[in-house]
Amino acid sequence: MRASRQASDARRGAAGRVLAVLLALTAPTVAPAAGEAPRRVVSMNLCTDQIAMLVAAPGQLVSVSHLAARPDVSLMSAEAAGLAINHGLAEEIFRLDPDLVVAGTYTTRATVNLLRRLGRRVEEFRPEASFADIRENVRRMGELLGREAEAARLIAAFDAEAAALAAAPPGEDAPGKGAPVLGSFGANSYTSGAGTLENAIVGAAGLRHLGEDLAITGTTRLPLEALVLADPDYVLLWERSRNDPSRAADILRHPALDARFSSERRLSADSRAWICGTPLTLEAVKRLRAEASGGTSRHREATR
Amino acid sequence: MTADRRYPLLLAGLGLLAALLFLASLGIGQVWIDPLTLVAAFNDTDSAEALILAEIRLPRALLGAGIGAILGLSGAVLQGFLRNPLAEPGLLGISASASLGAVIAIYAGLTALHPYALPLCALAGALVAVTLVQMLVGRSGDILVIILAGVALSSLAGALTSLALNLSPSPFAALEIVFWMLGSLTDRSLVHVGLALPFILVGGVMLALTGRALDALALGPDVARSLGIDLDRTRVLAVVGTAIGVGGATAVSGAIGFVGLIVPHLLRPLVGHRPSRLLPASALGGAAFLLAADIVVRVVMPDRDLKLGVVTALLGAPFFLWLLVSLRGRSA
Repeated sequence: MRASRQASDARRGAAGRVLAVLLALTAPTVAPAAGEAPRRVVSMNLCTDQIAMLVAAPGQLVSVSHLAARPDVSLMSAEAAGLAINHGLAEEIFRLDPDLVVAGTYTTRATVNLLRRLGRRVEEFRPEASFADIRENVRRMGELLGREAEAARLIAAFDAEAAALAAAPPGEDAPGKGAPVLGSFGANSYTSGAGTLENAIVGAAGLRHLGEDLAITGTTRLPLEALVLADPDYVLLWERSRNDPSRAADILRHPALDARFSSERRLSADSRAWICGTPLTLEAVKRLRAEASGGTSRHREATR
Repeated sequence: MTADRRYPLLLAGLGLLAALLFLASLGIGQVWIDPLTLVAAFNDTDSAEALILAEIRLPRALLGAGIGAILGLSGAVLQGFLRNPLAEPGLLGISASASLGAVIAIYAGLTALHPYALPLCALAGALVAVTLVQMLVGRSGDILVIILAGVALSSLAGALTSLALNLSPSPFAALEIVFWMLGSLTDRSLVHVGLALPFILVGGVMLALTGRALDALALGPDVARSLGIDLDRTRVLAVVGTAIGVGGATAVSGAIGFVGLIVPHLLRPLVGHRPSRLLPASALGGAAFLLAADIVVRVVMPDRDLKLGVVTALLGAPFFLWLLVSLRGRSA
């Protein structure tokens, strides 16, 4: 009788302790005082990874997502090599004991919510759809990390480079009505239109964007039939997708595409500079402009 | 006697229907092109319309007809050979296993070595599945056994397909599980026709050769044997023919279910319940059915890439349930 009461007391005690731990976990811990820069920052999204690596002080950023370390999707895989790699899972991020987590607004909701329940500060960044968004996200990252001066320096350099690109004449065509049209065509026949970073890059390179001409907003499927009929001056193919063995990329090897768009009408792009809006995005503009001005005159004489 | 006289008419009607749907499939696409412009495109082979017709719509229509025919035909043969009304490549997990073979061929890099690795691996997957099914249910006509065998094989093949896609480094691989499970003919090219059609034809001929044996088998295996039917030869033709045909088809279209179930059941009363007559009728009917389903996909949601298997399942699954209920009523 006594033994059993002791056992039940012990059980109750254990249950109480578990409850106390659970309560401690769910109650938000005290956030670092305002004005004090976070010392252990973890990023869990490819785009915030790259902006954070550009902005953070040495040692301030402890971990980036596994995508940032992949040379096929990240422009900063070399910089990511020295950092801890996370896979966007709540458990591993919690173990890194961050005082700030930066994530994208589309990063798995469950993980972000769980981290918040565990009392971690999570700041979300909207994907960049324009050059203004790039400036804003860099500025905000600087503010969150207490690195306002570094962010301001990056933005100033970005602005100067963008202004220099805008001043240089894009080939022989001025942007506007007469500019050649460029349509992008990706795996699973996806293309982009207005309101996307792609649209901003294409515009900055002095080209018209087929997606915008077709009144497409965002990213959507463009049937191959529609692309053939629309007949843009250039088709932009992602160089990484073209050699991908998947069925999704099969469409990029379709004979109709070969028959319609000869090699000088195809531009290839390094998708790494297009995925995320960062100060490095201007690389995409420069390369696109160089490729387009290489083929423009030849193609125009041949078709008009 | 009426069924005898009706039979040529039925075949002619199904053939005409399939031909009309084939033409409709050329005329209806993801973008609307005036039929007159399309006809004019025959003379101007450089125009965008001619290109769309020859390189985008023709392969799609050819594959729709060929794949529909082989699925309908293999359904009819499997139902006759296993003497089980629910036999069908999709339900038995044969299509899902062929998908697994195709996925392995693509993501292990075999297709880069030789394009025919794709249909051959799909064929191997289908062969394993159809052999297993035949061993599992060959001796019993029990409906429950065949359904459970199909469920087990389909989910195993589906899980392994998923695993293979998750292990692949390609960024698009994980999204492709839908295609391999539900099937689609979107933007297939003449290259795919060249990959699939030879296998579909060879498999189709092998399946068609089982007709006389299936007639005899309808009276029971002992009667069939006494009539001089070589059952081992029939088994090889049915099993290997299904594997080759469905393997080649699934390699380019993904797993499309229910065609082999619905079509033979709809046509069986019309051919007077003779298995040998059901075979050509099911092939033509399957072609017409899949062409029609593929037109529905493009008309209802032209810009959404609706999967073909969604349409066939929307029609097929209720039919399957109705069939189950009516079979239980009959056996009770």
